This record gives sequence, C-alpha cells and structure tokens, in this order.
Amino acid sequence: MSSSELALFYLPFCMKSHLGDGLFTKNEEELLLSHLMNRLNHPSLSAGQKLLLYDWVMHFPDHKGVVSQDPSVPYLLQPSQYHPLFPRVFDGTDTQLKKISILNLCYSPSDQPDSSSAVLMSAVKCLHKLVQYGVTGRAAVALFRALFFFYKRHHKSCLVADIQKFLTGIVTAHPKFAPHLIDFLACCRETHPESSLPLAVLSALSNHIVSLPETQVMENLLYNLQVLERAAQEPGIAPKPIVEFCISLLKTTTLCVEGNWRKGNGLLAVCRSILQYHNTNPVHVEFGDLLYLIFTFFEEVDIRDRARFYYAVLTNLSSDKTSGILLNPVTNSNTASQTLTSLMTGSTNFPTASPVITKQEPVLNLIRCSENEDDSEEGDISTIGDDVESTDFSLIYKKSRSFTDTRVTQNFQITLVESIPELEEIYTLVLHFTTDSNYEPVKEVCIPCLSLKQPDGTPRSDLYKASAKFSIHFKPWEPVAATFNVCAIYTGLDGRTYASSLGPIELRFEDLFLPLAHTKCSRHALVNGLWKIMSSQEDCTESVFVIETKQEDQPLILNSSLHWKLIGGKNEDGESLVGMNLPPNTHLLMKQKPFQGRTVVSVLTDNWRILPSVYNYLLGLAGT
Amino acid sequence: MSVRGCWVISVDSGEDGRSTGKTLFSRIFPSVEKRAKLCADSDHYVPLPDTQVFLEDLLNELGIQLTIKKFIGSRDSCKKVDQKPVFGVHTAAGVIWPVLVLEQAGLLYCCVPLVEVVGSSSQVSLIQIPGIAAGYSLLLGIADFVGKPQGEVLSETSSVIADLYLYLSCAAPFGTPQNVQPDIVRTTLQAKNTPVPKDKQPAWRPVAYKGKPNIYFAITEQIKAVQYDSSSIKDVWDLYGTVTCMAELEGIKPEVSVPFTWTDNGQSPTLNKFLFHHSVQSSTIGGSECRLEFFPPPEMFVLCQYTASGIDLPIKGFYQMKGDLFKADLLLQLKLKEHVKNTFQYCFVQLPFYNRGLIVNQDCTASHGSVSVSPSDGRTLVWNVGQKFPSKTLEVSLKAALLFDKAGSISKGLYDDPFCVGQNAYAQVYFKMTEYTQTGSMIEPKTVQVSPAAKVKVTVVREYLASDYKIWNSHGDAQMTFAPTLPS
Repeated sequence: MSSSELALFYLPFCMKSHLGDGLFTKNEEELLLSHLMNRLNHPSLSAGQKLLLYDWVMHFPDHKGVVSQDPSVPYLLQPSQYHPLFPRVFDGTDTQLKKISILNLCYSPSDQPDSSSAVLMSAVKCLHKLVQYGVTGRAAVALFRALFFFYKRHHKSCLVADIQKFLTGIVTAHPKFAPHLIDFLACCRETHPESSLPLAVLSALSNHIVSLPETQVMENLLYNLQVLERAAQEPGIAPKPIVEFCISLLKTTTLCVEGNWRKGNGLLAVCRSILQYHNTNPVHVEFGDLLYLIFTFFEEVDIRDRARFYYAVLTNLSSDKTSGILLNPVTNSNTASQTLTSLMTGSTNFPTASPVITKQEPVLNLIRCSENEDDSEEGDISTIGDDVESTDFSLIYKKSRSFTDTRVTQNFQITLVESIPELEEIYTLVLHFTTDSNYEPVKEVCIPCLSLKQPDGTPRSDLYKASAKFSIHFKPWEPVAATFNVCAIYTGLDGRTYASSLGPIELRFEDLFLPLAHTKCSRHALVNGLWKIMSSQEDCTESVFVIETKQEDQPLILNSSLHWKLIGGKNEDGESLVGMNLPPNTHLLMKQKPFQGRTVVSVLTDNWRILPSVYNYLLGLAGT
Repeated sequence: MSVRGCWVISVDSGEDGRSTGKTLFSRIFPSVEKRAKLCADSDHYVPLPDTQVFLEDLLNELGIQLTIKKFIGSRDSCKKVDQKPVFGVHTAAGVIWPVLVLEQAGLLYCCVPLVEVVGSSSQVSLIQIPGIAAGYSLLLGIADFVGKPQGEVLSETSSVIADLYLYLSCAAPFGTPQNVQPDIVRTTLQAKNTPVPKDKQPAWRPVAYKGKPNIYFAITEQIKAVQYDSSSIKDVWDLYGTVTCMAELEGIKPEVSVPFTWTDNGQSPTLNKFLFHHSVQSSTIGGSECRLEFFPPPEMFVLCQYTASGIDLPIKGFYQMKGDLFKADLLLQLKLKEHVKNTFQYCFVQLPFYNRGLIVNQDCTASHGSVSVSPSDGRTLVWNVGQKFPSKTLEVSLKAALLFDKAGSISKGLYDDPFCVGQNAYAQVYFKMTEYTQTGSMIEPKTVQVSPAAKVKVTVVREYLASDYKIWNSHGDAQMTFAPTLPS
C-alpha cells in the first residue's frame, strides 16, 4: 500500500471492488483509506496522479465493495480526516476544483448561515481572490464551476444568498466575466427551472449597469450589453430602465457616430430580447424612440436595417405575434426570415437572402496597362551640363533619404468578359487585395458598374462600359518584388452577391524603379555627385557584377531596357551611368562599361538587402 | 489492464494562449481493439478514428486551440463534467472514453485504456477500470523514455520517437503494460542477443551486473514555502525528500538492508507519508529510523519518498514593498534559522515586478552580497546573497528604490502574473546546500548490509534545496487559502 507505483497502489482497490465483502477487515479498509488520504497532498506525486486519486476518494468502494456511480464521501471518512481535502496555496486550479467538489459532498449547509456554509465559501477563497483581480482563464472557469457545484447540491440552503452575492460582486467589478455568468445562470435554469437565482442576480446587475456613468459603461460596453440582453430575457425584470438607458447611451456617447457593427449588434440583441420576452405596450413609445434613434443615426447600414425591421415589427405586430416569430432559433436564420416575410405580408414570399456565391468561371479579366506615355520631358541625356560644384549633393542625398512617402503607381484595366445571363451587368464591384508583409495594405478599389449590354435608347455613357481603368498605388516598406492576390466581390443582376478571385498581380523588382529626385543639375551630374557622397557613407554598399551578354553588339545592357529618366549619360572614360530611387528611400546607382565582350556593372546602394534582387535583374537582362 | 492505443502529440503554444498540435507518434493495438468491440456491445462500441481525426477531436476537447483568455462554451461551461486527467473525446462515431492525458514538457501523452465492462462504458467509475492506473504508469514510462527534449524540437522522425515502437513492443506487448521502466526496457532490448545465462534472471533484472560492487544513495530534501508576515494568516510550507539509489551488485538477486535515520532532538522532526519503490520488501519505521530491505533493480531508482513535519522554516523572510506603476521602495530581510547549516552552494532572491515597465533606475543597498537587474527580462531584481549569512546575526537585508520605464508602461512579450498588480508582489528565494538535510536524514555507509555478503563501496550524498520559496509583500494582497479547524 505504500508503493510509489500507482498501478500497485491500485491493486487493493481493484481487489476490494471485484471480490467485495469480507476481503478486508474494517481496520484494513481504514488503513487503505488513510493511505489514500495521505497521498492527496503528497508533494512527491505529480498533479495528474493526484487528480486521479481524488476521483478514487469520491468513488471509494463501500463495505460491500460496491462502487457508487454518483460521487460520494467514503463511508469510513470521519470529519476529523477532512484536512487533506481543503485547497492549499500550492494547488493548481484543477486540484482546487477537485477538492472543492469533494468538500461539497462533505458539508451540507442548512437554510441558516452555519459553519458548513462558511467552510464551503472559504474553500473557494483562493480562486475568488484571483478572479477579484480580474484574472481570466482557468481560475475563472474553476470558480464558476465550483459555485455551480455548490448551487446544484445546496440550492435550498443559505448558500444561495452567498453565491448570489459572489456572482453580483464579480461581474460588477469585472464585466468581462459576463459570459461566465450567463453560462452559469443557463446551467442553473437547466438543473433547477424554478430557481430564483437568475432573476435576483440579473435584476441586481441590470440595476447596477443602468445607473453607471456613461464613460464607465462604454469601457466594457459589449459585456454590459450581454448582461442587459440576458436580463431583458427575464419577464420579471422591467424593460423600461433598460430602454431608457440605451436611449441615453445613444444620445450622450459617440456610439452612433462610431458605427461599430459589434456594438450595434449588442444593442440590437438587447432590443430583440425585449421584443421577444416582454409585452411592449407599456414601453411602446420609449422602445420606438430607441429603435428610431438606431435606424436614423447609427452609422452602420446593417444595424440600421435591422433596427428598421424591429421598428416595423414593433409598430405593426402584437406582442404575442412578435415573440412567436422571434422564438425561432437565430442559427436557422434562413427559415426564420422566410417565416417572418410570410407572416408579415400574407401570401407573398420574398426570396431569402443567401450568402455570397463564389464564381469559379472567369467572369472578370484584370490586365496591367502600359505606363503613361504622355509624361514626356524636354532634355537630352547625352548632353552633360557640368555644374557639380554649385550643388550640395550631400543635402540632396540627405533629403531624399529622409523621404518615406514614395509609392509606385501601376495602371490596370478590368473587363467583364463572360456572358452569364445574371452577370451581364454587375454593380458595386469591390476589388480586394491581399497584403504582402513588405507593403502597406493596398486600398480597395470600388467600381460602380460594368455592363456588357447597352440599355436600349440610352446614349452611350461612361456608366455602361464593359471595362474600367484604375490605378493602384503600392507603398513598399522594403523594395522587394511582391505578388498580390485579388478578390472581386460584386452584385449581379439577380441581386445576389458574388465573389471570384482574379489572377494575382505581380509587382516585379524593376517595377519599383523610380527616377532620382528632381534637381536643377543634370542627371549625369546628380548620379556622379551622389556616387561620391554615398561611397563615403558607412551604411552604403558597393558591389560589382560581371554579366555575360548574348547581344555582343549591345554591351551596355541597361540602357536598352530602362526608362530614359533613369539613365544618367556617359562619363569620359566610357562608363554609362544609371541612378534610381527604390521606394521608400533606397538609392541604387550603377555604372556599367563593356569589358572584353562582357558588361561590368558597379553597383552602389544604401540598402544591401536589395543586392540579390539587383543581380537577378541583371541576369534577366543578359538572358533576353 | 490493456490500452487500445497510445499517442504522443507535440503542442506549440502561440499567441493569446492558443495552441496547435501535431501527432508525433501513434500506435493502435488491433487485438485490444477487438476485445473492446467484444466487451462493449455493438451499440456502445466507438472505434478509434484515424490519427489526424483523433488529434483534432482531442484538441477540440481540451480546448487548447482556442484562446484561454475568452470564455468558450464548449470548454468552459459549468455543466461540463471534468474528470481530468481523463477526458471523453467526441468523435463522429461517438464519445471515446476514457482518454488519459498526461502533459509534460510541451508534449501530450495519451492512451485509451480498455474498459472491460459489458455495455456502455460511461456507466463505470474510473476506480473500476484497472487500465487507468496501468495506462497512467505506461504514460509516465513513455514520457520518461522520451525525456525532456533539450534544445531539439521533436518530430516524427526523431530517433527517440522512432524507438518508441520498440519500447512499446517490450513495455506493453499487444497493448498490455508489463514492465514500463525505460531503463529495464532498454537493457532487455540490448540484451536480446546475449546468450541465456545459466540461472534465470528475474524480469526486473534482465542482465546481471559484473564488476566492482558499489551502492550510491542520494538524499534530496526540498522545501516549498509561502510566507505572509501576517498575524492572521499562517505561513505554509512543505518539506519533502527523496532517496535515490543505484546499486551495482553482482548476483542474480542481491538483497540490501539499509537503516535510514533522521535527527530526533526531542522537538520531534518526524518523517512520514513514506512511499517506497516496489522493490522494497520490508520497511520498519520506529522512532527516528526506518529500516529498509530491498532487492535493487539494476538501474537508478527512487527508493523512497517522504514528507516531514515539525520542522521550522530554514529562512524566515520579511518583504515590505510600497510603490506604484512607476516606482517602488522596498525592504527585504532574511533571517537564517539557528542550527541550520550556514554554507550554501548558492542562495539568491528574485524580486519580479510584473505588469510594469522595465527597471530603468535602481538604488540598492544590500547588507550582504550583490544586487543586479536580471538581464534576461530587465524587470527582476536579483539579490545574490552568496555562500554564507553573517555568522553573528544570521540576518541579511536589502533596501532598494526602483524606477520603472514610463513610456512602455507594460513590457511586451514577457509573462505577466495577472495577480501581481499594484503592491501585490513576492520575493522568491532559491538556495541549495550540499551534504546537509534539515531533518538530519542520513544513511550511514557502514550500516549498509548486502546479502550475499560482499565488500561494497557505499557512497551517500545529501542536498537540501528550495523548490518554491515565496515571501509575499506585507503591504499587498497575497494568494492564500483557508483551512478550518476540524473536530478531533
């Protein structure tokens, strides 16, 4: 019996429950039990093993070896032996909960405050203290479970008043425990439908919330609304203070302007509970005002719509009918809305709203347009204006280095291609771009309408075009190539919402090439000047690439492929210069010259991380 | 006493207390599965699902994929029946119960013990299922076999995981746990090809030792304590010890007899709640001695475990801290109890300051030792008391004024004890002494007897250390429990 091996220690229990009566004398059974109790707090045993042992205590075989299915106190255990069952400061939450559930069996409080009730309530002290400090997670779960154990077994004792005080205190101090409380009350109702505890707790809490100053309510608005929603489900709690509270909330706080969907939803949930569980006649005017306020001023269209609907229900239907409709479970929203429409409009059946339909067929085609050709500029790259002396390149470099708001603009065209009947015309097309981690999120693009057909008799207008052009500004945090996935959401002719994914947009490294900052001096002087400044900077890196070119007649590979604005002319020794900015503030200068049929490119940059991209780019050029 | 299947799952905890899991190892025993099918009638038999499905269902049941900070009904509801460490895993075919789960070092070890009761298994109490205790021992064995991965991340292809198949084939052939001790299993596996000795060896001693006879004993005493410095709340502490033994003795079944003694100075420090290794044949406890007779297995094993009562705290502490989010003034005094050995291998105190910014300025005066801010987190004051308390007074004190970073008022990415807000704070003492135990527990090498008689070299080492030694701030709130006085 003193074996540290769990399986061996289990043997006598196994024998007792299998062989039954007469195997052990009473003294031996007492010894077995005391060994079990000794282990409950043994510091050398693991917590998991001890948790099993607590279970054994609750199902200790009786003198005939019969194990009861319901947990009970071992028949031999005397109150003087309860000591190992009290939670200790070294116990984890699971262990404490197990101990509390055994103590719950050991003590039976009467309907007057007595030592038993005091013992039980003090057993949860450690968990309660944690929760009082707002500690969430396992401690909170364990505390609410412990209180539920107490309630389940002693719902007719004085313990109920203590539990009520506990719950009210916890949620008053920390509204974030509202979900725990609501679950607790639901469990109470399930086990004891006649219980008055939920009403008492909710009534106290709703009185507390409606009397709070707005700032305090707003801090934990969602939780407070959850409590009010649950309170409004109690027919015994008058809805008027709740309604008035909501009105004052809308009038005095920024709730409406904020237009937060979740908060609006919380508010509507309160309204729904009132509609469903109360006769609205006594609060008809105030409740109407509340719904009117929401559907007029709340800056969220879905919330407004639903408030308008509740308003219609309130003003047109009797309370009985309303609660009949709203009784349908929320999860089954499709059928619920069907019932609603059929009830309200007699025989007419509106088509029910369906979720977004994903289209696999290519409905839209997204292509990149070529660069704007219209921005020509006077000037010849071959002329060299040499006024380096008069220009402060150090300042120019410093200024352009500090510039962070650089962006790359690309033009796109989207065309409606597929002639599906319900998609011959699409509305409110929204293009959503997934964000690359190296880029600032790309803003959504909205296009009001795309149409394949021309409405009869109307002059051709911009509105009815099968394609639309738009530009996207990409703002990289790091100059690297990126791929953006595009998702299109739009409404078809049949009023349904569709979604389809478009091919990804590829932003190549060379797409990020931007001209150097515009200065008075020539580009040649600028590149040379910056080269001088940057080569003396500590954070700048210089590198040399030798590229084999296939086109031997064109050794200066860069010139043919780059925009003229990036090319900075030739030096006297035949070096051809290139200078560019990469967003947000990287400089890339290159000098290239032919050498024995190859191109030698010297690269100078203030961001060494782009060197692999530069190399790949140059290799790509050589290959073409 | 069989198990239907075993799983080893690695769990990565991510942000927000959400975790993800991956199955490293799984083994289902078809013969036990067949028995499970026969035991439960067709209506109640729930087959074990595929590894991946089982993983998902188990993690759902444990609820560890979802954030711990929010209330999740399926996991946190009051009506959920909690049988930890036993769970019921909901699968498409029904509920698999009982699933035993043991968590150790980021790994979940699970097994499903066979319930040999006809009908629905949910009607049975855990105490009626022999497979629970056997399965739990098996899980401990597997966990011991896998060990604590040091630095390396375990995957399905790690050698120790691959070896688990071999381990299980020996430790639990056909799903029935036998000898689950990893060392014995290893020895058995390695000894397979050696010729069968003339005399039959016992199963727990598969290979006889050859060489010089040696016996090592290590007595480790540990203390965990919580001190409040309050007249209304009593300090709480547990002193407990472990005797580990390694006996290298020749012969088939050598027997060892050891008197294990402790100080009895009238104030009665008594050792109690002894737990013994199953090799111990007899133990006679009387006065201040416990005589143990045992047949040692070949590997290192825990000979006995005990707790002690009637012992005073070795170091009494007083911690007074006042302050707010941005500053704190504190005084910490420690007093070593008389007659406790005043030579430490180490003794230092950590004073963590949670839910605040980093320590930006410290003005500390320590009567003894040195003070620094922990470089690992920047918000724990570490007071290294050193190897000795001043021998005259046996008292040391630390006075400090701290300033915390105002800008980043709450440091990110570090663990914050949610209870330690405002003036709720504690000091944690770590110490270790060698060749000492506070109870005076001892094994005198000369008194160790071995049969058959042989000249044995006996080595005994002792150590005493603090495992969890907290001193709460007298000016703040503290975690505490309440125990009533019971009728005698």
